Amino acid sequence: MKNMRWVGLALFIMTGIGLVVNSSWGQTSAWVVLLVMLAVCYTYGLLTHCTNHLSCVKENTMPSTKSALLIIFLATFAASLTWFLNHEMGLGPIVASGLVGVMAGSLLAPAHAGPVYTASFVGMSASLVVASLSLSIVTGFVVGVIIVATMPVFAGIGGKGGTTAATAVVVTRTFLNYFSS
Amino acid sequence: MTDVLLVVFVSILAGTATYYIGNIMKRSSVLGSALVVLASGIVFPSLFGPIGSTLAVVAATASYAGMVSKENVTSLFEMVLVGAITGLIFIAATPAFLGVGGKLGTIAAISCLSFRGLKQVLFSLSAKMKGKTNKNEQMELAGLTQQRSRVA
Repeated sequence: MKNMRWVGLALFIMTGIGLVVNSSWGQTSAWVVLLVMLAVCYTYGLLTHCTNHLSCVKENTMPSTKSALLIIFLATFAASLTWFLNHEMGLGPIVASGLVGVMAGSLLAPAHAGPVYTASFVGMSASLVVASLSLSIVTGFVVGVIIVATMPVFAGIGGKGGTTAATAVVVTRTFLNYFSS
Repeated sequence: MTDVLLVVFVSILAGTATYYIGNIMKRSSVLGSALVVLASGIVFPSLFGPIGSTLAVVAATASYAGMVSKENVTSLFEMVLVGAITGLIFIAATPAFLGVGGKLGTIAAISCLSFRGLKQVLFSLSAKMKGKTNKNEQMELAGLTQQRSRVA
């Protein structure tokens, strides 16, 4: 499980750097300069965060099996519910995720509300990316596993949930594309 | 330019609102972010028409950044700066990761970590400057002490 945290940390970093690099393509020089400056600050901030919180990937503190299974179940449900509200009910990604987040924040304990809200970001994906309810269930399951495996990684950083969700979507689509080709 | 300023303004507003609910009012940051996201998703498209949907997405992005812990962003003023960074990265990252759920949160994470990195750099520079100033003062003092001992 400790190895999974290192893998998770590496995936988070690659997702962030991937976004910065992808953003730089075809941009005007002023924006590229800004992105390069931000990339330098991001890398430095990432290194100091990882150095200060290295124990978060070394510690052997994992949720219990029961708790882990519950989180994975809730994440799967939240991702598919958000996808349903977004695409089938036509509420759009923002309102769909907001609704699921408000319900989670109001009704669940913080330990479960966070993972549910994170998983709702998966359901915000466009239909070109997560094309069906069954795919949202699969991706929700993947994000649940990643949440459990990487719990203390990037803790306290706003946007960790979104990075987790983006990582899950990219990983799931990569696997599915690989096995379908 | 007006659009850029509007995006940055909305980003600062949403980020600080979420930070305030989570860290100042000590409510759940999930609830804080979800409320800001839901409110902006309903209000902005109604008030601002076509650009309203974009502003709702900007507000959602900034609200994810606003979920940062007080350890990493220590005050509302710092959150204003993070919000501004989030708005700028949102604009720059428009063509990237199209349709990928979690993109907005990734932008928020980059903003938080970039701010943290920038703060560390400025802090290190400031500490070095203070170190130089102290060293100069010490050398001057040593020089004065030597002069006094010669006179004595």
